[in-house]
Amino acid sequence: MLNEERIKLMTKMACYEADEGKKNVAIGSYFRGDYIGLQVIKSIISGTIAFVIIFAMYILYDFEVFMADIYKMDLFGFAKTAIVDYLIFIASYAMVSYGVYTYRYTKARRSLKNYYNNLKKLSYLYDKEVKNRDYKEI
Amino acid sequence: MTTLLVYREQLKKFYSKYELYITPVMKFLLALLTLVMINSSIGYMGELKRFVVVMVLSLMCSFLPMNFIVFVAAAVTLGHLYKFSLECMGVALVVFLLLFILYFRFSPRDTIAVLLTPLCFILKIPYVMPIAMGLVGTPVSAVSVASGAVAYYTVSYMTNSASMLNTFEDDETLEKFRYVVDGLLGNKAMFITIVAFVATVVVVYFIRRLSVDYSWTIAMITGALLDVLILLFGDLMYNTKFSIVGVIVGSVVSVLLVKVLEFFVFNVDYSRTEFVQFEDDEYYYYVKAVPKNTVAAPQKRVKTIRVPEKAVRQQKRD
Repeated sequence: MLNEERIKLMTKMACYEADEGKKNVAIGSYFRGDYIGLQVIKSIISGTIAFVIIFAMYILYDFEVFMADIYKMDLFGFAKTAIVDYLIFIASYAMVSYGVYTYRYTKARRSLKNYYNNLKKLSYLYDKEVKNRDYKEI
Repeated sequence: MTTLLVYREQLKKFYSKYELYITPVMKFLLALLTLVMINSSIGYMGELKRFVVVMVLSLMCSFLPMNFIVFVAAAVTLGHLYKFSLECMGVALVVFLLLFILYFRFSPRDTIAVLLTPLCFILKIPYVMPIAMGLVGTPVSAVSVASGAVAYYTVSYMTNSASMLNTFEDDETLEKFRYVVDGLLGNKAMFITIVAFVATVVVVYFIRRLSVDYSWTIAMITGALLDVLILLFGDLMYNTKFSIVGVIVGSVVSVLLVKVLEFFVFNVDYSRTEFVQFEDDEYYYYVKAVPKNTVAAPQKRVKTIRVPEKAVRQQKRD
């Protein structure tokens, strides 16, 4: 027999899963620390790539001067400033992404709570249906 | 006003009925418009301007995700710039890459703002974007709008200085590169526009969330005024040669446009017809969930009043 109430609930949940739920369910499958950690690591990688690009542009811009001065300049000092700049850049970018992903994780969890409640309700409806059927058979 | 409301209801009904077809068509039109705009403003590569290529790309965009349009637009722009000058393409590639790597990791949904901002710039109504994004987005949308402005100014600077770039010799690659980078970093108009747009998005967002009557309208007008104010102030400070009349007229037109958008798009829930499938122990379900229309649009009823022939005859006789 078709159970109308259950079909309605399942449809509602399937709609959620198809739309915003898809992302949230993916996020919800992680522990908080794992999710945020993974995203921050990804951010650090992309931030590093961005920094390398910017640094390459910077060198290229003054390429002739740079090549002329390369034997005279304090290479150690230059590397030190570059590394300090890199660390500041990466740290601030990682902090921003930490904030963003913490917010996202909390939001996804909150949204999933409703979904999990619906799941419980669904399983309750199932149980009820099975019991009813068994009862009728007896 | 009632007619408009009815019209809106009908539009909503129409959309929910044919959503499956309307969305791809809209995407196709957006992609087509984007490509035509890019081709007409920086069409250096003849191959990309061919009708078949434009059509095929637009058709591809119509059934692929929205972000694909942004990707295609960026690729076509780079293609044109490649033909124009390799250095310019390098700089534009770096700008696009940085935008992509640093920002779009966070908000892939906002990418459409990055596409629409340059389009609005070409249409001379860029002021629509910060107001609209402030109304429907979050303060973070400011970054998208700013990115769009950066993309537009980068490309427009390159095409505007085409004659200057052509004077460089072939082996002066570094000088050319330096000239382009200098021009971009010294582009005060770009920075003032970015400041104005970011401020507008944030202000519009906060005002429209206030719990006062007409907060949306107040937000729009305040945003537009702030935008004009910052642009004019920047113009006075840095002599950026903004056309004052252009800014004011553009802002007025933008507010009107956003008002229209608000009525037809932002305040209407074009809830979609959903097709879902799932199963339980006994059945497979293929469900089409159609949203209920709360306010029904009145249907036109034509009532014909016919005078009985007998009465007509009687009248004639009298």
